[in-house]
Amino acid sequence: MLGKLMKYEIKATARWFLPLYGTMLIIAVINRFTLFSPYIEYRYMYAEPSVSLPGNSFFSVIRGIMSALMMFIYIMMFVGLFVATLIVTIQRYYRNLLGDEGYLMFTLPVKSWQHILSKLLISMLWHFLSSIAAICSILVLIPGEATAKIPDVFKRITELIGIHGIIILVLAIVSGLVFSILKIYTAVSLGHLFNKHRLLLSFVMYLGIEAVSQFIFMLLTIIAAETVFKPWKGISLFMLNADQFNCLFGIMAILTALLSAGLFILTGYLLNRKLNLE
Amino acid sequence: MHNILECENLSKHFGTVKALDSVTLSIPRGRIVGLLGPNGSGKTTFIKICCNLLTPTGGIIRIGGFEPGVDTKKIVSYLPEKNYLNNWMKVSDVLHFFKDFYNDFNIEKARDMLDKLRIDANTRLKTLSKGTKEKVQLILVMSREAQLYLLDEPIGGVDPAARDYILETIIKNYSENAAVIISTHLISDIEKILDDVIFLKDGQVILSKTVDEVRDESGKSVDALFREVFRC
Repeated sequence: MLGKLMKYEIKATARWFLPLYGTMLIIAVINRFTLFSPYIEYRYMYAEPSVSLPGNSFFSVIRGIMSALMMFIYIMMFVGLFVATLIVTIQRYYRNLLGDEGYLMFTLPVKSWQHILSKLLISMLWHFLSSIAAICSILVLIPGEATAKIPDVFKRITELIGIHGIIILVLAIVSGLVFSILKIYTAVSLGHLFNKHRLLLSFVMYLGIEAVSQFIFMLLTIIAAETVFKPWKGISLFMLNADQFNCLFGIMAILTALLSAGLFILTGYLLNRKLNLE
Repeated sequence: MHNILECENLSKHFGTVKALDSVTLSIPRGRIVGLLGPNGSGKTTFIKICCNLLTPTGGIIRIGGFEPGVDTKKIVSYLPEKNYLNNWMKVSDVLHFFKDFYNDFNIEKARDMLDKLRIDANTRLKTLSKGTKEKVQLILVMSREAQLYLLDEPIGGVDPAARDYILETIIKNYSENAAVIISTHLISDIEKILDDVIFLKDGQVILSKTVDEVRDESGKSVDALFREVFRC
């Protein structure tokens, strides 16, 4: 049943994201050709003095305007992509489960936690794909010589923190993502307990959850600083050795995973016992 | 098991408001039951509890022997008042959605009924009128071979000609093993298909009889009795 829910969740969301990714890449390709900066111009002039560039000519001005305009559109798209990913995450949960469509979803022979998990996993999938699309667009945009250095960067990081360090880092990022999505689900479910101003109250609930989780993190950080990390006193984040670095991120990953589990259970309880569709 | 639905002292409070107040009922299989009452009498609350969309404050309820949950959702086919269909889907997408999630969904039956009402399965729900969407929902709900059908105001938004077709559909599509509960305040339209009636008032059952008993004892139609009982 979870698989079926996920299948329909993908169907319902892909129609937003796929065109968005396509547009994003097209705009990146256009930028590749229009990209023009005085710096590049300058460099070319010195590298190859024989190449004559149309200095302050009319064309140069038009090119500059075009370039700036396309860059502006690209940056807007870039930001818009992540805003859209966030909005779709909220909207799918709010509308599909707690709006009128909830009458269909909650009368399917499916457990509440399966609804939450299917929404969560698909939202994570889109967060991941949006990031890939964003990275691809950057790769299209930047000169080839810079792209060629990327594998080296990865190699350096792996050398620094090791393969298990990379895994820990990825786990920390994934649990951070899970946590941030579940905060939204919990906030919307809590906001839904009220009869009026549900969206506004969901936002208030979100701020509340954020405050509480920040407080817990701070408390645990203080505790950790006085215990596990005591011997590290005076060392800045950049001076940590690989093991210390991995230990830090490992603990962060576990903490966020635990808090996420708490939110998942709370949200499941709210949908199970406190559901009150309009 | 004779009764498909049994509940005892079922209550639902919203703050200080008692939407349902100690309702005790049993509904046998093979019956079409009218759940009748004015607005705010608790009809929808009762149906939502049966569907596990609301958790009761007190009392017990069993459908086919199960408490509301995944097991009951498999055997209960529910038509809400709301339009719950995704607007971006085509009618045929929704058919497959139902087929995917309900083992008892008979897609052939659904296609057949759509044809009879001249609804093209390839149209997007967005482009259908409100009344047509309601018909599609009813077709979906009645194409399940369920054991309990819960129809909340099934004829509220459709024209009188379509009403007859809908009532016919309901009678034709439930088996002897199943029961149908129809909540409505348009009594005269559905009276002819009802076997039993339940009157709800302020969350309490004030009358639960067969239609024949109502006619024999009061000498009135259900509609006339309703108007008398709920006179403002």
